Amino acid sequence: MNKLTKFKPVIGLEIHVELKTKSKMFCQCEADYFGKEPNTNTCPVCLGLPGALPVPNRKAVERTILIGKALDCKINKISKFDRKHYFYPDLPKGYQISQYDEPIAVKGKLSIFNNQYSNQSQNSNSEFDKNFRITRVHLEEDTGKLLHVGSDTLVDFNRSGVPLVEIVTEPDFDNSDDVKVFLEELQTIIRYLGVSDADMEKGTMRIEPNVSLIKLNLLQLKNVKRVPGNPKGSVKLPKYKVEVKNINSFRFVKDAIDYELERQIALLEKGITPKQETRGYDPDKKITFGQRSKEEAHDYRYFPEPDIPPMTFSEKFIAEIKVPELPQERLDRYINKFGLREQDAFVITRSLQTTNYFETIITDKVVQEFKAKKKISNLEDHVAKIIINKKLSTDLQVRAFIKKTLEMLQPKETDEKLLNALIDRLIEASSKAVEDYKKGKENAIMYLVGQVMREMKGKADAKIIISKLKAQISNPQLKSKN
Amino acid sequence: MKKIELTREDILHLAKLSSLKLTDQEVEKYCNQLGETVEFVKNLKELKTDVVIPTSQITNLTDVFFTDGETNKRVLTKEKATENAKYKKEKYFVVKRIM
Repeated sequence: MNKLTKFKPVIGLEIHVELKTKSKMFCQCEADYFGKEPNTNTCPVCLGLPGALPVPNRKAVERTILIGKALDCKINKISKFDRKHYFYPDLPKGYQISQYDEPIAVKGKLSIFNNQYSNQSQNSNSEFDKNFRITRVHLEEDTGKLLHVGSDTLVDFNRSGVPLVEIVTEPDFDNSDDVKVFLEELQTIIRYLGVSDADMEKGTMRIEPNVSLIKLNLLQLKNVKRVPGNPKGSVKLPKYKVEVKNINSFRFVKDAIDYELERQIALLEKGITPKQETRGYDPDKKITFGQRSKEEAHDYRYFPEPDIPPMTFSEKFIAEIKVPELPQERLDRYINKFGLREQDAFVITRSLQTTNYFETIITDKVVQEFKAKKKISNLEDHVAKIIINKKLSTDLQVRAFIKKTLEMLQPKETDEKLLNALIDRLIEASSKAVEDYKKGKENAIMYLVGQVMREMKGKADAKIIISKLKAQISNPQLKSKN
Repeated sequence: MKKIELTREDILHLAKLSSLKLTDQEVEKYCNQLGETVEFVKNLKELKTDVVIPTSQITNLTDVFFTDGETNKRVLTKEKATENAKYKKEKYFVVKRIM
Protein backbone atom coordinates (compact mmCIF):
# COMPACT_ATOMS: atom_id res chain seq x y z
CA MET A 1 0.00 0.00 0.00
CA ASN A 2 2.35 2.71 -1.19
CA LYS A 3 -0.53 5.19 -1.11
CA LEU A 4 0.18 5.31 2.61
CA THR A 5 3.06 7.63 1.88
CA LYS A 6 0.45 10.37 1.44
CA PHE A 7 -1.91 9.33 4.22
CA LYS A 8 -1.28 8.00 7.68
CA PRO A 9 -3.80 5.52 9.12
CA VAL A 10 -5.17 6.44 12.54
CA ILE A 11 -6.72 3.40 14.22
CA GLY A 12 -8.15 2.97 17.70
CA LEU A 13 -9.89 0.02 19.30
CA GLU A 14 -12.91 -0.58 21.49
CA ILE A 15 -12.85 -4.04 23.00
CA HIS A 16 -15.71 -5.63 24.92
CA VAL A 17 -15.11 -8.61 27.16
CA GLU A 18 -17.89 -10.48 28.93
CA LEU A 19 -16.86 -11.42 32.46
CA LYS A 20 -17.19 -15.00 33.60
CA THR A 21 -18.96 -14.47 36.92
CA LYS A 22 -21.63 -16.64 38.46
CA SER A 23 -24.21 -13.85 38.66
CA LYS A 24 -25.07 -11.00 36.34
CA MET A 25 -23.80 -7.46 36.87
CA PHE A 26 -26.71 -5.96 38.81
CA CYS A 27 -28.87 -8.91 39.81
CA GLN A 28 -28.51 -12.52 40.93
CA CYS A 29 -29.56 -14.11 37.64
CA GLU A 30 -26.99 -16.49 36.19
CA ALA A 31 -24.37 -14.86 34.01
CA ASP A 32 -24.03 -18.04 31.94
CA TYR A 33 -26.74 -17.70 29.33
CA PHE A 34 -25.36 -20.13 26.73
CA GLY A 35 -27.80 -22.71 25.44
CA LYS A 36 -30.61 -21.59 27.77
CA GLU A 37 -34.20 -21.40 26.62
CA PRO A 38 -35.07 -17.80 25.72
CA ASN A 39 -36.14 -15.55 28.59
CA THR A 40 -35.69 -18.17 31.29
CA ASN A 41 -32.80 -16.34 32.95
CA THR A 42 -34.37 -13.01 33.85
CA CYS A 43 -35.70 -11.04 36.79
CA PRO A 44 -37.26 -7.60 37.26
CA VAL A 45 -33.78 -5.97 37.28
CA CYS A 46 -32.44 -7.34 33.99
CA LEU A 47 -35.84 -7.02 32.32
CA GLY A 48 -35.82 -3.35 33.29
CA LEU A 49 -39.18 -3.49 35.06
CA PRO A 50 -40.15 -0.23 36.76
CA GLY A 51 -38.96 0.11 40.33
CA ALA A 52 -36.42 -2.72 40.25
CA LEU A 53 -33.17 -1.68 41.91
CA PRO A 54 -29.77 -2.68 40.50
CA VAL A 55 -26.97 -3.61 42.94
CA PRO A 56 -23.42 -4.10 41.57
CA ASN A 57 -21.70 -7.50 41.72
CA ARG A 58 -18.53 -7.09 43.80
CA LYS A 59 -16.67 -9.83 41.91
CA ALA A 60 -17.28 -8.08 38.58
CA VAL A 61 -15.89 -4.84 40.00
CA GLU A 62 -12.80 -6.63 41.36
CA ARG A 63 -12.20 -8.34 38.03
CA THR A 64 -12.40 -5.05 36.20
CA ILE A 65 -9.81 -3.64 38.59
CA LEU A 66 -7.67 -6.72 37.88
CA ILE A 67 -7.87 -6.12 34.12
CA GLY A 68 -7.01 -2.47 34.73
CA LYS A 69 -3.96 -3.41 36.78
CA ALA A 70 -2.81 -5.98 34.20
CA LEU A 71 -2.97 -3.22 31.59
CA ASP A 72 -0.88 -0.88 33.71
CA CYS A 73 -3.78 1.46 34.39
CA LYS A 74 -4.33 3.91 37.16
CA ILE A 75 -7.23 2.65 39.30
CA ASN A 76 -9.56 5.47 40.26
CA LYS A 77 -10.16 5.72 44.00
CA ILE A 78 -13.73 6.83 43.35
CA SER A 79 -15.80 5.39 40.59
CA LYS A 80 -19.49 5.48 39.70
CA PHE A 81 -22.01 4.20 37.21
CA ASP A 82 -23.86 6.33 34.68
CA ARG A 83 -26.90 5.88 32.49
CA LYS A 84 -26.33 5.87 28.75
CA HIS A 85 -29.59 6.42 26.92
CA TYR A 86 -30.67 5.07 23.62
CA PHE A 87 -33.65 3.18 22.27
CA TYR A 88 -33.09 -0.27 20.92
CA PRO A 89 -35.16 -3.37 21.54
CA ASP A 90 -32.24 -5.23 23.18
CA LEU A 91 -32.11 -2.62 25.93
CA PRO A 92 -35.21 -2.92 28.09
CA LYS A 93 -34.69 0.10 30.35
CA GLY A 94 -34.10 2.56 27.51
CA TYR A 95 -30.62 3.09 28.94
CA GLN A 96 -27.57 1.00 29.63
CA ILE A 97 -25.87 1.19 33.00
CA SER A 98 -22.30 2.06 32.03
CA GLN A 99 -19.53 4.37 33.20
CA TYR A 100 -18.87 7.81 31.79
CA ASP A 101 -16.55 10.25 33.52
CA GLU A 102 -15.35 8.16 36.46
CA PRO A 103 -14.44 4.77 35.00
CA ILE A 104 -12.75 2.14 37.16
CA ALA A 105 -9.38 2.35 35.40
CA VAL A 106 -7.64 4.89 33.16
CA LYS A 107 -4.35 5.62 31.41
CA GLY A 108 -2.75 2.25 30.90
CA LYS A 109 -0.59 0.70 28.24
CA LEU A 110 0.09 -2.60 26.58
CA SER A 111 3.33 -3.44 24.80
CA ILE A 112 3.49 -5.92 22.02
CA PHE A 113 6.33 -7.50 20.17
CA ASN A 114 5.42 -7.82 16.51
CA ASN A 115 7.51 -10.71 15.19
CA GLN A 116 6.29 -10.11 11.71
CA TYR A 117 8.34 -6.97 11.37
CA SER A 118 11.37 -8.38 13.07
CA ASN A 119 11.48 -11.16 10.48
CA GLN A 120 11.48 -8.68 7.67
CA SER A 121 14.37 -6.72 9.05
CA GLN A 122 17.43 -7.49 11.10
CA ASN A 123 17.10 -4.56 13.45
CA SER A 124 17.42 -5.00 17.17
CA ASN A 125 14.43 -6.35 19.06
CA SER A 126 13.70 -3.25 21.06
CA GLU A 127 12.78 -1.44 17.88
CA PHE A 128 9.76 -3.70 17.52
CA ASP A 129 8.54 -3.53 21.08
CA LYS A 130 5.60 -1.23 20.63
CA ASN A 131 3.59 0.56 23.25
CA PHE A 132 -0.09 1.22 22.81
CA ARG A 133 -1.90 3.48 25.24
CA ILE A 134 -5.06 2.29 26.97
CA THR A 135 -7.47 5.18 27.48
CA ARG A 136 -9.82 3.50 29.93
CA VAL A 137 -11.26 0.28 31.26
CA HIS A 138 -14.85 0.48 32.46
CA LEU A 139 -17.65 -1.79 33.53
CA GLU A 140 -21.16 -1.97 32.09
CA GLU A 141 -23.97 -4.42 31.40
CA ASP A 142 -24.52 -6.47 28.28
CA THR A 143 -27.74 -6.17 26.29
CA GLY A 144 -30.27 -8.79 25.24
CA LYS A 145 -29.99 -10.80 22.04
CA LEU A 146 -31.94 -10.07 18.90
CA LEU A 147 -33.06 -12.57 16.30
CA HIS A 148 -34.44 -11.27 13.03
CA VAL A 149 -37.08 -13.56 11.58
CA GLY A 150 -39.37 -12.55 8.72
CA SER A 151 -41.05 -9.28 9.62
CA ASP A 152 -40.28 -9.76 13.32
CA THR A 153 -37.36 -9.12 15.58
CA LEU A 154 -37.35 -11.55 18.50
CA VAL A 155 -35.86 -10.51 21.81
CA ASP A 156 -34.21 -12.78 24.38
CA PHE A 157 -33.09 -11.12 27.61
CA ASN A 158 -31.07 -14.03 29.03
CA ARG A 159 -27.85 -12.10 28.24
CA SER A 160 -29.25 -8.79 29.46
CA GLY A 161 -27.22 -7.55 32.42
CA VAL A 162 -24.21 -9.87 32.05
CA PRO A 163 -21.09 -7.98 33.20
CA LEU A 164 -19.27 -6.44 30.26
CA VAL A 165 -15.87 -4.75 30.44
CA GLU A 166 -15.03 -2.15 27.82
CA ILE A 167 -11.38 -1.49 27.05
CA VAL A 168 -10.65 1.57 24.93
CA THR A 169 -7.28 2.34 23.33
CA GLU A 170 -5.89 5.63 22.10
CA PRO A 171 -5.79 5.87 18.28
CA ASP A 172 -2.16 4.74 18.34
CA PHE A 173 -2.25 2.08 15.64
CA ASP A 174 -1.18 2.79 12.08
CA ASN A 175 -1.46 -0.68 10.58
CA SER A 176 -3.69 -3.73 10.85
CA ASP A 177 -0.83 -6.14 11.66
CA ASP A 178 -0.11 -4.41 14.95
CA VAL A 179 -3.83 -4.45 15.74
CA LYS A 180 -3.96 -8.21 15.27
CA VAL A 181 -0.87 -8.86 17.40
CA PHE A 182 -2.19 -6.47 20.07
CA LEU A 183 -5.55 -8.24 20.20
CA GLU A 184 -3.94 -11.67 20.44
CA GLU A 185 -1.79 -10.44 23.33
CA LEU A 186 -4.79 -8.85 25.06
CA GLN A 187 -6.86 -12.01 24.63
CA THR A 188 -4.05 -14.11 26.11
CA ILE A 189 -3.75 -11.72 29.07
CA ILE A 190 -7.52 -11.83 29.73
CA ARG A 191 -7.37 -15.62 29.72
CA TYR A 192 -4.35 -15.68 32.05
CA LEU A 193 -6.33 -13.49 34.44
CA GLY A 194 -9.10 -16.11 34.38
CA VAL A 195 -11.79 -13.44 34.13
CA SER A 196 -13.29 -14.39 30.76
CA ASP A 197 -13.11 -16.95 27.95
CA ALA A 198 -12.52 -13.99 25.63
CA ASP A 199 -13.90 -16.06 22.77
CA MET A 200 -14.50 -14.10 19.57
CA GLU A 201 -16.77 -16.71 18.01
CA LYS A 202 -18.98 -17.05 21.06
CA GLY A 203 -19.08 -13.27 21.36
CA THR A 204 -17.53 -13.12 24.82
CA MET A 205 -14.90 -10.88 23.20
CA ARG A 206 -15.95 -8.27 20.62
CA ILE A 207 -13.84 -5.76 18.72
CA GLU A 208 -14.84 -2.46 17.20
CA PRO A 209 -11.97 -0.79 15.41
CA ASN A 210 -12.36 2.85 14.44
CA VAL A 211 -10.47 3.74 11.35
CA SER A 212 -9.53 7.00 9.67
CA LEU A 213 -6.68 8.55 7.73
CA ILE A 214 -4.88 11.82 7.97
CA LYS A 215 -3.28 13.51 5.01
CA LEU A 216 0.38 14.19 5.54
CA ASN A 217 2.06 17.31 4.27
CA LEU A 218 5.61 17.22 3.01
CA LEU A 219 7.13 18.36 6.27
CA GLN A 220 5.30 15.69 8.23
CA LEU A 221 6.29 13.05 5.71
CA LYS A 222 9.89 13.49 6.72
CA ASN A 223 9.16 13.36 10.42
CA VAL A 224 6.56 10.66 10.80
CA LYS A 225 8.04 7.36 11.73
CA ARG A 226 6.17 4.10 12.21
CA VAL A 227 6.44 4.33 15.94
CA PRO A 228 2.99 4.34 17.47
CA GLY A 229 2.42 5.62 20.93
CA ASN A 230 5.16 8.14 20.46
CA PRO A 231 3.60 11.59 20.75
CA LYS A 232 6.49 13.16 18.87
CA GLY A 233 5.73 11.01 15.86
CA SER A 234 2.00 11.53 16.03
CA VAL A 235 0.04 13.95 13.95
CA LYS A 236 -3.24 15.78 14.41
CA LEU A 237 -6.29 13.52 14.40
CA PRO A 238 -8.60 13.35 11.38
CA LYS A 239 -11.97 15.13 11.49
CA TYR A 240 -13.96 11.93 11.01
CA LYS A 241 -13.84 8.32 12.09
CA VAL A 242 -15.48 5.17 10.85
CA GLU A 243 -16.38 2.50 13.35
CA VAL A 244 -16.65 -1.12 12.17
CA LYS A 245 -18.87 -3.54 14.07
CA ASN A 246 -19.91 -7.19 14.00
CA ILE A 247 -16.49 -8.75 13.48
CA ASN A 248 -16.03 -12.20 14.98
CA SER A 249 -12.38 -13.08 14.40
CA PHE A 250 -9.00 -11.35 14.61
CA ARG A 251 -8.37 -12.23 10.98
CA PHE A 252 -11.56 -10.38 10.03
CA VAL A 253 -10.56 -7.38 12.16
CA LYS A 254 -7.40 -7.13 10.08
CA ASP A 255 -9.26 -7.61 6.79
CA ALA A 256 -11.93 -5.08 7.76
CA ILE A 257 -9.29 -2.47 8.64
CA ASP A 258 -7.39 -3.07 5.40
CA TYR A 259 -10.60 -2.77 3.41
CA GLU A 260 -11.56 0.45 5.21
CA LEU A 261 -8.14 2.00 4.58
CA GLU A 262 -8.40 1.24 0.84
CA ARG A 263 -11.96 2.54 0.69
CA GLN A 264 -11.16 5.74 2.54
CA ILE A 265 -7.99 6.42 0.55
CA ALA A 266 -10.00 6.16 -2.68
CA LEU A 267 -12.42 8.77 -1.33
CA LEU A 268 -9.72 11.04 0.06
CA GLU A 269 -7.83 11.00 -3.23
CA LYS A 270 -10.97 12.33 -4.91
CA GLY A 271 -11.03 15.07 -2.30
CA ILE A 272 -14.02 13.58 -0.44
CA THR A 273 -13.97 13.28 3.35
CA PRO A 274 -15.38 9.88 4.31
CA LYS A 275 -18.68 10.03 6.19
CA GLN A 276 -18.53 9.57 9.95
CA GLU A 277 -20.52 6.38 10.44
CA THR A 278 -20.80 2.87 11.82
CA ARG A 279 -20.24 0.13 9.29
CA GLY A 280 -20.75 -3.61 9.41
CA TYR A 281 -18.34 -6.22 8.07
CA ASP A 282 -19.20 -8.98 5.61
CA PRO A 283 -16.51 -11.68 5.88
CA ASP A 284 -17.70 -13.53 2.75
CA LYS A 285 -17.39 -10.52 0.49
CA LYS A 286 -14.55 -9.07 2.60
CA ILE A 287 -16.16 -5.65 2.57
CA THR A 288 -17.62 -3.20 5.05
CA PHE A 289 -21.04 -1.69 4.49
CA GLY A 290 -22.94 1.28 5.86
CA GLN A 291 -25.32 0.47 8.74
CA ARG A 292 -28.20 2.43 10.08
CA SER A 293 -26.66 3.64 13.28
CA LYS A 294 -28.27 3.16 16.67
CA GLU A 295 -28.09 6.76 17.73
CA GLU A 296 -26.89 8.91 14.93
CA ALA A 297 -26.47 11.97 17.02
CA HIS A 298 -24.49 10.07 19.65
CA ASP A 299 -26.64 11.97 22.02
CA TYR A 300 -26.60 9.52 24.86
CA ARG A 301 -27.57 12.04 27.57
CA TYR A 302 -25.32 10.43 30.16
CA PHE A 303 -26.10 11.15 33.78
CA PRO A 304 -25.07 9.52 37.07
CA GLU A 305 -27.03 6.37 37.89
CA PRO A 306 -29.09 7.57 40.89
CA ASP A 307 -29.91 4.02 42.02
CA ILE A 308 -26.30 2.99 42.64
CA PRO A 309 -24.16 4.72 45.26
CA PRO A 310 -20.58 5.55 44.24
CA MET A 311 -17.77 3.04 44.79
CA THR A 312 -14.66 3.88 46.77
CA PHE A 313 -11.50 1.83 46.61
CA SER A 314 -8.81 2.07 49.26
CA GLU A 315 -5.11 1.59 48.47
CA LYS A 316 -5.25 -1.61 50.48
CA PHE A 317 -8.23 -2.96 48.56
CA ILE A 318 -6.57 -2.23 45.23
CA ALA A 319 -3.26 -3.73 46.38
CA GLU A 320 -4.95 -6.95 47.46
CA ILE A 321 -6.13 -7.61 43.92
CA LYS A 322 -3.08 -9.46 42.63
CA VAL A 323 -2.10 -9.74 38.98
CA PRO A 324 -0.75 -13.23 38.22
CA GLU A 325 2.27 -13.88 36.00
CA LEU A 326 1.32 -12.52 32.57
CA PRO A 327 2.19 -14.16 29.22
CA GLN A 328 5.08 -11.80 28.46
CA GLU A 329 6.67 -12.38 31.89
CA ARG A 330 6.23 -16.10 31.54
CA LEU A 331 7.80 -16.04 28.09
CA ASP A 332 10.81 -14.16 29.45
CA ARG A 333 11.13 -16.67 32.29
CA TYR A 334 11.09 -19.62 29.90
CA ILE A 335 13.81 -18.02 27.79
CA ASN A 336 16.01 -16.85 30.65
CA LYS A 337 15.58 -19.66 33.14
CA PHE A 338 15.07 -22.69 30.91
CA GLY A 339 16.94 -21.59 27.80
CA LEU A 340 13.94 -22.06 25.53
CA ARG A 341 14.14 -20.54 22.06
CA GLU A 342 11.90 -17.51 21.78
CA GLN A 343 9.63 -19.17 19.20
CA ASP A 344 9.18 -22.20 21.45
CA ALA A 345 8.50 -20.10 24.55
CA PHE A 346 5.97 -18.13 22.48
CA VAL A 347 4.10 -21.24 21.32
CA ILE A 348 3.95 -22.67 24.85
CA THR A 349 2.78 -19.44 26.50
CA ARG A 350 0.05 -18.61 23.96
CA SER A 351 -2.45 -21.04 25.42
CA LEU A 352 -3.09 -20.98 29.14
CA GLN A 353 -3.95 -24.66 29.02
CA THR A 354 -0.65 -25.58 27.34
CA THR A 355 1.51 -23.41 29.57
CA ASN A 356 -0.18 -24.72 32.71
CA TYR A 357 0.28 -28.30 31.52
CA PHE A 358 3.95 -27.55 30.82
CA GLU A 359 4.31 -26.06 34.32
CA THR A 360 2.71 -29.12 35.90
CA ILE A 361 5.11 -31.45 34.08
CA ILE A 362 8.34 -29.58 34.74
CA THR A 363 7.61 -28.92 38.40
CA ASP A 364 6.56 -32.51 39.07
CA LYS A 365 8.63 -34.15 41.81
CA VAL A 366 9.42 -37.25 39.75
CA VAL A 367 10.53 -35.12 36.79
CA GLN A 368 12.68 -32.91 39.02
CA GLU A 369 14.37 -35.95 40.61
CA PHE A 370 14.98 -37.46 37.17
CA LYS A 371 16.50 -34.18 36.02
CA ALA A 372 18.89 -34.07 38.99
CA LYS A 373 19.85 -37.74 38.82
CA LYS A 374 20.50 -37.85 35.09
CA LYS A 375 21.98 -34.35 35.04
CA ILE A 376 19.75 -33.18 32.17
CA SER A 377 20.14 -29.44 32.58
CA ASN A 378 17.92 -28.60 29.59
CA LEU A 379 15.09 -30.92 30.56
CA GLU A 380 12.51 -28.10 30.35
CA ASP A 381 13.57 -27.44 26.78
CA HIS A 382 13.13 -31.14 25.94
CA VAL A 383 9.64 -31.13 27.46
CA ALA A 384 8.77 -27.95 25.55
CA LYS A 385 9.86 -29.54 22.28
CA ILE A 386 7.92 -32.73 23.02
CA ILE A 387 4.80 -30.59 23.44
CA ILE A 388 5.45 -28.31 20.46
CA ASN A 389 6.36 -31.11 18.04
CA LYS A 390 3.34 -33.05 19.32
CA LYS A 391 5.50 -36.09 20.11
CA LEU A 392 3.11 -36.54 23.00
CA SER A 393 -0.39 -35.10 23.27
CA THR A 394 -1.21 -32.69 26.09
CA ASP A 395 -4.55 -34.50 26.27
CA LEU A 396 -2.69 -37.28 28.06
CA GLN A 397 -3.10 -37.63 31.81
CA VAL A 398 -0.17 -35.93 33.52
CA ARG A 399 1.19 -39.21 34.95
CA ALA A 400 1.13 -40.92 31.54
CA PHE A 401 2.78 -37.93 29.89
CA ILE A 402 5.54 -37.92 32.51
CA LYS A 403 6.15 -41.66 32.18
CA LYS A 404 6.51 -41.46 28.41
CA THR A 405 8.60 -38.30 28.57
CA LEU A 406 11.09 -39.87 30.98
CA GLU A 407 11.37 -42.90 28.69
CA MET A 408 12.15 -40.60 25.79
CA LEU A 409 14.68 -38.65 27.78
CA GLN A 410 16.42 -41.72 29.24
CA PRO A 411 20.03 -41.43 28.04
CA LYS A 412 20.78 -44.20 25.54
CA GLU A 413 23.08 -46.76 27.10
CA THR A 414 25.15 -48.50 24.47
CA ASP A 415 26.32 -52.08 24.79
CA GLU A 416 29.92 -51.44 23.68
CA LYS A 417 30.92 -55.04 23.05
CA LEU A 418 27.87 -55.86 21.02
CA LEU A 419 28.23 -52.62 19.06
CA ASN A 420 31.91 -53.23 18.18
CA ALA A 421 31.23 -56.75 16.97
CA LEU A 422 28.27 -55.57 14.95
CA ILE A 423 30.24 -52.78 13.31
CA ASP A 424 33.05 -55.14 12.31
CA ARG A 425 30.56 -57.58 10.84
CA LEU A 426 28.69 -54.90 8.94
CA ILE A 427 31.80 -53.34 7.45
CA GLU A 428 32.82 -56.74 6.13
CA ALA A 429 29.36 -57.39 4.74
CA SER A 430 28.81 -53.99 3.15
CA SER A 431 31.92 -53.49 1.09
CA LYS A 432 30.03 -51.38 -1.48
CA ALA A 433 29.01 -48.78 1.09
CA VAL A 434 32.47 -48.83 2.62
CA GLU A 435 34.08 -48.23 -0.77
CA ASP A 436 31.64 -45.43 -1.58
CA TYR A 437 32.49 -43.78 1.71
CA LYS A 438 36.20 -44.09 1.08
CA LYS A 439 35.69 -42.46 -2.33
CA GLY A 440 34.29 -39.47 -0.50
CA LYS A 441 30.55 -40.20 -0.48
CA GLU A 442 29.94 -39.00 3.06
CA ASN A 443 26.32 -40.08 2.88
CA ALA A 444 27.24 -43.71 2.42
CA ILE A 445 28.02 -43.94 6.09
CA MET A 446 24.44 -43.15 6.97
CA TYR A 447 23.39 -46.39 5.33
CA LEU A 448 25.68 -48.22 7.74
CA VAL A 449 24.40 -46.22 10.68
CA GLY A 450 20.88 -47.24 9.75
CA GLN A 451 21.89 -50.88 9.62
CA VAL A 452 23.54 -50.70 13.04
CA MET A 453 20.55 -48.92 14.56
CA ARG A 454 18.23 -51.58 13.22
CA GLU A 455 20.31 -54.39 14.66
CA MET A 456 20.64 -52.62 18.00
CA LYS A 457 16.87 -51.89 17.99
CA GLY A 458 17.60 -48.21 18.50
CA LYS A 459 19.49 -48.81 21.73
CA ALA A 460 22.59 -46.97 20.65
CA ASP A 461 23.64 -43.38 20.27
CA ALA A 462 23.87 -42.36 16.61
CA LYS A 463 26.88 -40.11 17.26
CA ILE A 464 28.82 -42.93 18.85
CA ILE A 465 27.98 -45.25 15.96
CA ILE A 466 29.20 -42.75 13.39
CA SER A 467 32.51 -42.15 15.14
CA LYS A 468 33.07 -45.87 15.64
CA LEU A 469 32.23 -46.59 12.00
CA LYS A 470 34.59 -43.90 10.79
CA ALA A 471 37.36 -45.19 13.05
CA GLN A 472 36.95 -48.76 11.92
CA ILE A 473 36.79 -47.95 8.20
CA SER A 474 40.05 -46.03 8.39
CA ASN A 475 41.62 -48.73 10.56
CA PRO A 476 44.80 -50.00 8.71
CA GLN A 477 44.18 -53.57 9.86
CA LEU A 478 40.88 -53.58 8.06
CA LYS A 479 42.41 -52.00 4.99
CA SER A 480 44.96 -54.76 4.65
CA LYS A 481 42.14 -57.27 4.72
CA ASN A 482 40.61 -55.69 1.63
CA MET B 1 -43.44 34.54 31.38
CA LYS B 2 -40.52 34.99 29.06
CA LYS B 3 -40.08 32.02 26.85
CA ILE B 4 -37.09 30.04 25.64
CA GLU B 5 -37.28 29.78 21.88
CA LEU B 6 -37.11 26.15 20.82
CA THR B 7 -36.81 25.60 17.10
CA ARG B 8 -38.63 23.01 15.02
CA GLU B 9 -35.31 21.19 14.68
CA ASP B 10 -34.88 21.04 18.46
CA ILE B 11 -38.29 19.43 18.83
CA LEU B 12 -37.71 16.97 16.00
CA HIS B 13 -34.34 15.99 17.49
CA LEU B 14 -35.89 15.41 20.92
CA ALA B 15 -38.73 13.45 19.33
CA LYS B 16 -36.22 11.25 17.58
CA LEU B 17 -34.26 10.60 20.79
CA SER B 18 -37.53 9.81 22.56
CA SER B 19 -38.72 7.59 19.73
CA LEU B 20 -41.85 9.68 19.27
CA LYS B 21 -43.68 10.40 16.03
CA LEU B 22 -45.10 13.92 16.03
CA THR B 23 -47.55 15.56 13.64
CA ASP B 24 -46.81 19.05 12.33
CA GLN B 25 -49.35 20.57 14.73
CA GLU B 26 -47.77 18.75 17.66
CA VAL B 27 -44.33 20.02 16.72
CA GLU B 28 -45.73 23.53 16.71
CA LYS B 29 -47.46 22.95 20.08
CA TYR B 30 -44.37 21.49 21.74
CA CYS B 31 -42.20 24.36 20.49
CA ASN B 32 -44.33 26.57 22.75
CA GLN B 33 -45.05 24.21 25.64
CA LEU B 34 -41.58 22.80 26.05
CA GLY B 35 -40.12 26.28 25.81
CA GLU B 36 -42.28 27.34 28.73
CA THR B 37 -41.27 24.26 30.71
CA VAL B 38 -37.58 24.86 30.21
CA GLU B 39 -38.07 28.48 31.18
CA PHE B 40 -39.80 27.38 34.37
CA VAL B 41 -36.97 25.04 35.29
CA LYS B 42 -34.68 28.03 34.96
CA ASN B 43 -36.12 29.19 38.29
CA LEU B 44 -33.57 26.89 39.86
CA LYS B 45 -30.94 29.40 38.88
CA GLU B 46 -32.27 31.73 41.60
CA LEU B 47 -30.95 29.33 44.24
CA LYS B 48 -27.56 30.09 45.69
CA THR B 49 -25.51 27.03 44.93
CA ASP B 50 -21.95 28.35 45.06
CA VAL B 51 -21.30 26.79 48.49
CA VAL B 52 -23.05 23.51 47.74
CA ILE B 53 -20.93 20.52 46.72
CA PRO B 54 -22.27 18.91 43.58
CA THR B 55 -23.63 15.41 44.11
CA SER B 56 -25.46 12.78 42.18
CA GLN B 57 -26.40 10.93 45.37
CA ILE B 58 -28.64 11.86 48.25
CA THR B 59 -28.44 8.68 50.33
CA ASN B 60 -24.89 9.17 51.63
CA LEU B 61 -24.29 5.50 50.95
CA THR B 62 -21.19 4.15 49.25
CA ASP B 63 -20.02 0.71 48.17
CA VAL B 64 -23.23 -1.23 48.07
CA PHE B 65 -22.48 -4.59 46.48
CA PHE B 66 -23.78 -8.12 46.42
CA THR B 67 -21.68 -11.28 46.53
CA ASP B 68 -21.29 -13.16 43.27
CA GLY B 69 -23.31 -16.39 43.22
CA GLU B 70 -25.88 -15.31 45.84
CA THR B 71 -29.20 -17.14 45.67
CA ASN B 72 -31.53 -15.61 43.16
CA LYS B 73 -34.81 -14.88 44.89
CA ARG B 74 -36.26 -12.83 42.08
CA VAL B 75 -35.83 -15.03 39.01
CA LEU B 76 -38.93 -15.13 36.83
CA THR B 77 -40.30 -18.12 34.99
CA LYS B 78 -40.47 -17.66 31.23
CA GLU B 79 -44.24 -17.43 31.49
CA LYS B 80 -43.98 -14.70 34.12
CA ALA B 81 -41.23 -12.90 32.22
CA THR B 82 -43.28 -12.46 29.06
CA GLU B 83 -46.66 -12.29 30.79
CA ASN B 84 -47.30 -8.60 30.27
CA ALA B 85 -45.75 -8.29 26.84
CA LYS B 86 -48.09 -7.03 24.17
CA TYR B 87 -46.39 -9.02 21.44
CA LYS B 88 -44.73 -12.34 22.02
CA LYS B 89 -43.95 -15.45 20.05
CA GLU B 90 -43.22 -18.68 21.88
CA LYS B 91 -40.71 -17.58 24.52
CA TYR B 92 -39.61 -14.38 22.83
CA PHE B 93 -40.63 -10.78 23.11
CA VAL B 94 -41.44 -9.51 19.62
CA VAL B 95 -40.96 -6.11 18.00
CA LYS B 96 -41.29 -5.03 14.38
CA ARG B 97 -38.20 -6.11 12.47
CA ILE B 98 -35.50 -3.51 12.98
CA MET B 99 -32.94 -4.47 10.34
